[in-house]
Amino acid sequence: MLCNSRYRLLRIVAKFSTDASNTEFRVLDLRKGSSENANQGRGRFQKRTEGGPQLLPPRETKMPIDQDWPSVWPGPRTFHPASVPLPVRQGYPAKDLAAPPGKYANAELMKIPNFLHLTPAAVQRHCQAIKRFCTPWPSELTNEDACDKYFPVQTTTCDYLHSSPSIRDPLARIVTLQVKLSSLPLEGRARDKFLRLVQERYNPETDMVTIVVDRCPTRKQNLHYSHFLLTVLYHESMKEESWESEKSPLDNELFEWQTSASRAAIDGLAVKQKLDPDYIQLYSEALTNLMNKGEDQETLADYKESALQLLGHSRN
Amino acid sequence: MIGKSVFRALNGKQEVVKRCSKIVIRASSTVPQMSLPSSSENSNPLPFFRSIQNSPSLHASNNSGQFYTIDPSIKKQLFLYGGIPKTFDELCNTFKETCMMIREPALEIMDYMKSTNFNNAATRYCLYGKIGTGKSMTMAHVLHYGFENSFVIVHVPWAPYWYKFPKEYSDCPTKEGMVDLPLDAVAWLIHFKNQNSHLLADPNLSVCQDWEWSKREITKKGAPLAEIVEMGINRVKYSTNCIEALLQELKQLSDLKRCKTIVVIDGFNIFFSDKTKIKTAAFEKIPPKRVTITSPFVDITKQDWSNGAVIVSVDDLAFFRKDQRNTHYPRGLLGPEGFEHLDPFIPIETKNYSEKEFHYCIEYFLERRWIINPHAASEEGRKELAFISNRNPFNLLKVTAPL
Repeated sequence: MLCNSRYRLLRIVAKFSTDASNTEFRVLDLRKGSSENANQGRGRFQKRTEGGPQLLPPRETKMPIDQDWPSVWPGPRTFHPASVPLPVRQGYPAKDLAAPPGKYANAELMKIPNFLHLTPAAVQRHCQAIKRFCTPWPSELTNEDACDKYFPVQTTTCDYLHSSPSIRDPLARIVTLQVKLSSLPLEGRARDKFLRLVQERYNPETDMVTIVVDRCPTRKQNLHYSHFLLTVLYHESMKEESWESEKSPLDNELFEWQTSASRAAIDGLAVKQKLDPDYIQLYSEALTNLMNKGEDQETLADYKESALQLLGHSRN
Repeated sequence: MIGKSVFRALNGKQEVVKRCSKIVIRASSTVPQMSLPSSSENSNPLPFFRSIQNSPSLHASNNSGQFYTIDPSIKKQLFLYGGIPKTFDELCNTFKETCMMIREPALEIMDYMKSTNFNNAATRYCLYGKIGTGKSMTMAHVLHYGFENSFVIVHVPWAPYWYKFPKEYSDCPTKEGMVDLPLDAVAWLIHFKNQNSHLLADPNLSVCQDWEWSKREITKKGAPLAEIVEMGINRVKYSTNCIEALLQELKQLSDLKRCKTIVVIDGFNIFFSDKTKIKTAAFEKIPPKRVTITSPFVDITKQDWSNGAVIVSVDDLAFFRKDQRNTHYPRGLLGPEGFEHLDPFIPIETKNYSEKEFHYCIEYFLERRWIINPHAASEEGRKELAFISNRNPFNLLKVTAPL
């Protein structure tokens, strides 16, 4: 029963599309006994015959392929199946193996927003219309790196629209500030301190520091606070406190050969027996690699090679 | 036992050799002379998986994978108080012979030791590898080599025993905050004496300085080293002090070229852990570094002496089960402190059996009737065994036990 209306339309389409003169107006006949209306009256024993009120075929069947779509769908509108010449399907079928429901009388398609008013052609037209109000793209900003160089700080905010009495949304105050660490002039100790202050807000893969601020009630205040934070972080990292010199080798992030106990051991050994300085160099590199990259087959094998060379062992 | 047919692969050929109608009792403990057909490649009267060379000094890479027999008298001298893993020892009792496979790690260490310049500082070798791959066995092999070449043996069969199952512990009277393991120290001295009995009679091994145990008991300079050992065994109170003195003396004597020393310690990483089962009199649990027996053995593994070699092994099983670190790599097991102590060292890895070694091992088990199931001897059966055990030596032993 559900499909009847659709089949009826298709049949009408089939019937009318072969008509040569489909631009003719239909004749409106409201008389009770006319042949067209005869089938409409339902007696007690009269079957419901096929046909029903004569409907025009859906507009989509008569749309030429090269029509001007932005004129057909000039603005945002609820989905109208008869005006869209696309065989769209949406939703879950009642039976498992059936196709998803079609577009006619499909509430799901109507509920969701569509962007039929923003096709590339439409967008291009909008842009053309606005273009005369725009200034040219700066010539210095030729690529991504140039943009990073001139605009290192990225601020992200989000606007929320409500169709309710209030247009406010508390989430609109959140401000995200992103800056690449390489654009800040921090070296060595200062950089290490900066990273310790910033902790998980730094992403080493993209070299980005991301600061999310939401502690103030308005966006403007959060924006100012984020700028303040960046300034403070930078200046605090540049300062050197007296207690920073208490950093011990255990606190080091990476293994440093120069200050390590291993180096002292090798120096002690070199006093008693002859050690080739080249081999010591190779050994220090292998050891640093082992400590920093972690232990695995490869690093251990390198370490073993260099130790064998250093200590003067070889296989016959 | 009655009416079993034994399949044997000899040089790749499958032959049904015997149908035993009688119960065969193995009476001798020597290598049974299995008669091979004359198709054997060399003039080796033994099966291909056995080596004629029973002397580790003469083992070379062409012996790799073969089993060599350890003489019972040598086994008694070297391993009476430990050194051969328990499961393997039971196997040896079952087979009535001690046969060890000659494998690459041991050959490697022995190669390095043969070509070492003994004027240089003692090199440290660190054996590491997954559980059951043969670290303790390699150490036993190298120990045998050291014994043959007249090294003075300083051997700790399994260091964690001292910290996990101490015989007796008491607060140290001389050093504050430290705890003694007097009976364990005595046991170790007895082990040392047993292993080095043939060398302690050497007049070269005489004490380099005076050692004062108490006001009345002094070991004077020039006395034989055996005196310190005897003192430690007889006077339980001074046993740990004797160990300290002994090891220091050995370092000095090695430096003076009056002897050469080989230090073999299994489960070395326990010295750098932070837990033991030992408590002070006040019931405070202490780490190994507060146990007096730790320091002499940690000291002898330093590189401040020459004319010797140090072979240690690191094993995850050395730790208490809760503290196990789930790694078999040396730095992970030694920790930063242990690694710094041992650095620079030569890490030597023990691996699962190679295909050749696996084949030889299966052949040995078949010969010894450890594997009786005929399907296990077939091509398919071997593949199955290799897959199930992952060619891990210990796993293979366990998997073939019910066969």
